[in-house]
Amino acid sequence: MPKNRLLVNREIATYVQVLLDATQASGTTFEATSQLKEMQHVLVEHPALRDALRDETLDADARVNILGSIFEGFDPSVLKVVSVMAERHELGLIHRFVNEFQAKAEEALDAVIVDVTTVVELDDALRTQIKNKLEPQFGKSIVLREHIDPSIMGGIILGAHGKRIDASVAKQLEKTRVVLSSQRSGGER
Amino acid sequence: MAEITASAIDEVLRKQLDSLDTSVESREVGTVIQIGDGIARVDGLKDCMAGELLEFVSSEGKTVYGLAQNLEEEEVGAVLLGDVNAIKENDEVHTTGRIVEVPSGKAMLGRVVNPLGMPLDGKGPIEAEGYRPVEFKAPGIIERTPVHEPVQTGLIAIDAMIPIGRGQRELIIGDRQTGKTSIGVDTIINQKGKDMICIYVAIGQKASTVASVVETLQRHGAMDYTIVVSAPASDAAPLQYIAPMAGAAIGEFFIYNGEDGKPASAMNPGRHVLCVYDDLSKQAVAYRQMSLTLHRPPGREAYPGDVFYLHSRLLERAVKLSDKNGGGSLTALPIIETQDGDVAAYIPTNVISITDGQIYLQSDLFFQGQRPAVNVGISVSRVGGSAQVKSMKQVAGTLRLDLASYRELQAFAQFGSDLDKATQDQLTRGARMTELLKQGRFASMEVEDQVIAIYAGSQGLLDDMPVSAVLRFRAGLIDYMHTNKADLVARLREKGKLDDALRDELTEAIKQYKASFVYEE
Amino acid sequence: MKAHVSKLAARAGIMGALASGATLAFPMMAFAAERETAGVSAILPAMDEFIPMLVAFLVLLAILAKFGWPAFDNLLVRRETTIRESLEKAEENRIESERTLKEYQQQLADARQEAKSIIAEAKQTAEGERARMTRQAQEESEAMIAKAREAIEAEKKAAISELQGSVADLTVAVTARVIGEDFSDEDHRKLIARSIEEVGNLNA
Repeated sequence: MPKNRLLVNREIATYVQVLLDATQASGTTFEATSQLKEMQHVLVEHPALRDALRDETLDADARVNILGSIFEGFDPSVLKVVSVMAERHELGLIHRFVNEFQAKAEEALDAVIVDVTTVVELDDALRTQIKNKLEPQFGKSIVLREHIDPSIMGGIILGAHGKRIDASVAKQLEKTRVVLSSQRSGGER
Repeated sequence: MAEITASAIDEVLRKQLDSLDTSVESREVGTVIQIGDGIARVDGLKDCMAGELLEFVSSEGKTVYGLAQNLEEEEVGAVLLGDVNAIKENDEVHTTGRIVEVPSGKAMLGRVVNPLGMPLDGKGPIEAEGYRPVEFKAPGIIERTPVHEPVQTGLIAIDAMIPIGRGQRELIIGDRQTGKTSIGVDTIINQKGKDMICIYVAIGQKASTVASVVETLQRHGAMDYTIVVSAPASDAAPLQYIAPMAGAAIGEFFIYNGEDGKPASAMNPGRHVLCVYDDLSKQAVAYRQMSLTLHRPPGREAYPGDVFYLHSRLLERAVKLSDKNGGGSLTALPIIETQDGDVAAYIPTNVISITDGQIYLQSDLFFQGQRPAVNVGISVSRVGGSAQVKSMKQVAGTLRLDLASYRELQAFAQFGSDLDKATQDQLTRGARMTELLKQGRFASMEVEDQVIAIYAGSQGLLDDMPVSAVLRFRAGLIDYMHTNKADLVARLREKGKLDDALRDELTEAIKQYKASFVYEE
Repeated sequence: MKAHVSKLAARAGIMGALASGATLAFPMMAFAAERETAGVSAILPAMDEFIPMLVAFLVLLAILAKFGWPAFDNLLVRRETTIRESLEKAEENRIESERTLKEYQQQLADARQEAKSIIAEAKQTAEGERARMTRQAQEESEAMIAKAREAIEAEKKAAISELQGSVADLTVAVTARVIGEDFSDEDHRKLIARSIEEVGNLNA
């Protein structure tokens, strides 16, 4: 069911505005961005879930129930908006919705949300160090969204606005391994 | 040279370590939101360019390359080149800022590689002299010069009547099992010692077929100057799609660079390359699959709208460069398979209109024993004539017309038996000339031998022998000329054209051989 | 037929003449022997005998001259021509045979020449073929050796790269293990701090 592009854009804008208004009222805009990201990740990770939520034979209530049981404990306003999307068979728009919402949230917070991934939890010294480093680059205040991931082995991964700096040990080692085992001694790229 | 010692390995590793780049720069990162059929939809990558090489990193750390194809508002549609199953949803995707490139260079000669230039023959890694973009805009008018040197296929029927020049695009078209690949392979084999680098691109073929082609080339010593680019039927559609372009790119390295690997110029001549694309109908099918799975709108025969451009931009890369640019050449021999002789289908008409002529193979000729099954009546070469050797032009000048009128008469003569002398003579001559054009596989002939054979036929020296003896006579005559009249053959080769003295001498020599020739075996 | 008849006639004539000659001579001799003593008259014919004898002789002569001689002459002439003709023919045959002989000799010589040239040609062909085959064999063997060398080289390279790969893998694995096990939180934080210093512009 392809729709007019402008109509779709307007629909997304409506969803974003609704969620933004709701979260701003409760002061949970920043948390909502994290939760939406997580939801998106889960939905993409499990194609079976995606297919189930798009299943025409399942009625709207069943779909909403599935969502509700999977994302229990999430911000109710976030869950509500996503449920409406599922009800209206518009979960395919979730990626654009999440991106759009993040952009609007950053606007509302007047800050840049930066994803930080490390092996151990950051302390305040490190947080300030990161903020001091990145604030001049964006010309805006920085909000950190912290993740812990032991698989990166060490170092730090910073990400914002679809860009990423991977200064993790895992990455460095991988790079080293590739360089060491590659045989290309001639030729220029 | 390469001794396997601890110190050697140590040295190599140290050298590699020196080139390790430890800087950490920001990169654009996207995530795969859907994957299937070799197609990935990627969220993010706002700065991605059309046709850009993308790097997919699987959760196990495996890297698979992809090609950005559809740039949409919020996502990118990409095709995967390589292990499709390694990539899952939520995997990372990086842009690389590069378009797809293939390594090339002398080290690739004799190798079998995939469309990304990776070796498939288990002979170890290939040391590249340089890299060439797979998508490359063909040189313009200024850089080119008209085709003027011949490519000898070694097949009388083609060299005499459908001559191919260096830098030409000559289509080989026909149904399955009509010997299309054989013509390509025979042409490659005939390039031995002719300063020609050959590239055989196998697209969507059975791996066993490719293996047998490689084996054949090896047996005839043709792999020394040949590179085989193979995207067998088991490869993903995107690999089959870029295979001919990759082959052209590998070839382009040789024409734009001289012997020393430096850019070609008037002082540093580029080399000559022959590219056989076997076959482009399969590439079109792969591209159709790609486009349909990318949700591009289908057109005629469900091919996407730009399938014409796909082939025209590929074949436009065939070139004869001017001397200022090194004078290198890329000759393209695309192959198209027709269904039941239908040349009016979409892809055949497209490619026929793009190329500088076509060699049309017919299955009924093939089964009549006329091999190569070239239908000389409807096969043409639009530019090759100016590249043909003078002597060949002299003897073959009227051949095409003679054969055409022969075929006409032949159809006519089936009705009546009372024919006048002139008609009968024409029929006799035609039958012998047709027989003369038959040639087995891997039996390529030098151009001067072809001239001698056609000369014997056109002078009526074969008219009084049974048709069944013609081929034996031709073979014997060539042997005789080489062993006993080597100087005459040498002169013919040197002069490149027939003057009266040479004609007389040739007639005399042929008569001499004929006197000792026994018709009955 | 006519000739045969006239021949017979001629023969009969001659016989006649001889017979009559004999009858004329012998009685005369006998007569002379009888009449030796009768003097000269003994040798003179008696006129009464002599006249009829003469007449008979003259008649015979006339007849012979008229019929016998031409036949005889004819016979001679014919015989002469026959002999001459056969002589001529013999001469001709001789010349012919000489010519043929010469021809045959010439042909023989030609054949010899041809045989020689054919042999020479065959020798040349064989020589050429031999040279070609030797050359081919040599080239083939050289190509084989070169190919084998290449294969060995490729094998070596492959072995080296494999070894290199496994060395690299091993190194990295060991490093990873060391970092994973031996780094304390404090070490990690230090590493993070250093990494932050190293990173470039995120908003590039």
